[in-house]
Amino acid sequence: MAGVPVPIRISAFVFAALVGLLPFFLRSKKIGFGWLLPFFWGASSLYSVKLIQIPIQKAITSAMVGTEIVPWMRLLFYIIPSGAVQELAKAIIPIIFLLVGLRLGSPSELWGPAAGAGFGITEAIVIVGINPGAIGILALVERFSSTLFHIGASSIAVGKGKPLRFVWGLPLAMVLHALTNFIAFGLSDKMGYWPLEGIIALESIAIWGFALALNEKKQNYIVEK
Amino acid sequence: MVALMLFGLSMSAKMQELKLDPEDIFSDREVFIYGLFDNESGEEITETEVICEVEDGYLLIDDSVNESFVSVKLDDLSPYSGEKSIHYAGDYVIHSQFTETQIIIDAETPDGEQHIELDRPEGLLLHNDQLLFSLRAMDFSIEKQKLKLFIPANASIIDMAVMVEGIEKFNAPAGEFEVYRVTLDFGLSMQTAFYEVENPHKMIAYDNGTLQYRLKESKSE
Repeated sequence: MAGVPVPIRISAFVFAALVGLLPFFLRSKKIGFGWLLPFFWGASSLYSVKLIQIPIQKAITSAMVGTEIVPWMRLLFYIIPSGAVQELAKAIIPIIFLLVGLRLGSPSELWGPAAGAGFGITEAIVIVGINPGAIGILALVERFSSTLFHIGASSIAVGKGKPLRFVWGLPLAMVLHALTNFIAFGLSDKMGYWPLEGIIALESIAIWGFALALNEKKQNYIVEK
Repeated sequence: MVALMLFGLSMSAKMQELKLDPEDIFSDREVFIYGLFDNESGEEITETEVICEVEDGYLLIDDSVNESFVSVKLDDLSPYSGEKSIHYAGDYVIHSQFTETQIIIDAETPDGEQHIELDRPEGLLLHNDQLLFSLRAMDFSIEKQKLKLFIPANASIIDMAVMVEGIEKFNAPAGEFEVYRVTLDFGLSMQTAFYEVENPHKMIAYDNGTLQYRLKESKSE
């Protein structure tokens, strides 16, 4: 097998998840073990891609055959389910648990990032980690930024578990996800892989940073007289 | 999204199914040599030889560069069997056998042998490796026609449409031809094929977005 060895690939993805989660954990006074539930849920929700996303995309592709829809719009219609299905799948269990007040010992703001990390790391392992083909540094960079993206997007979608947040947070995460994929697909034949992955990495870091900013705790200022 | 799907399905329902009439199209043995030109640089990368041979009621299509061999029934051009080699992260050989109700796929892969059985959908179904040479027998006066296509590489069946866009002149290494420009619409991607207007509608060129096949030479025996 050529390229980066499997143990190094998987270590890189674990490292990506740790880097992505660390700032969220450092901000929490308490961490607990409750975040493991959304983490493992996020990992298993990858199955939604095969179960729901791909059949929807196949149906949409078939529906577009022979129509007058222009190519960029065809791509957009094809991409939309990836954002909608994956963000909903990652967020649904954290949302339900937090809505009914079950935090299992971990602060609510860790549930979204944990679900994203579980999804991101599992996707990276399935697509790249155990891929029998020759995997180079580029694929690792792509999955590294993708893991950060998933952590950020799920954090935006779930927030601290307040109902109002889901109303705008989940659609926003879906749109950001679809937009990222649209850029990746749309530019894939227009520029080299490294510049493209650079753009996607910057966008992923920006979304992750935005999620961190949204997650910031309100400070209580005490004015001493 | 739902509106789009309904719109698409209504359009798809309006399209008529592809009809192939192989009479007077295929001779005993035809050899086509195509140059493969890179769309970006315009340079010829390699060439491929495609042999179409009529034998015992079957049309046999053998493509050297794609390492594919398909046998189809000559009366309606429905596929009978196919064999395709793929060299991607290892060597794969995919055999497919078509019955009235099923497509039976046996693949030799780097991880061992695989066996898959797919339900054969109703209506016209073509093997991907016969598509370009079977479309010679289509009715070019019909603007849009739909069909189902079997893709051996991932053992899947997809919907597609063929759309006749018009007649134009095409300069190939074999000469200048008056051709039908035909769009092959796969939903997410589109490709173009060019068929000589004159019977038996030889494929003069094919553009898959990355490479363009251009006819260099053809022989009928």
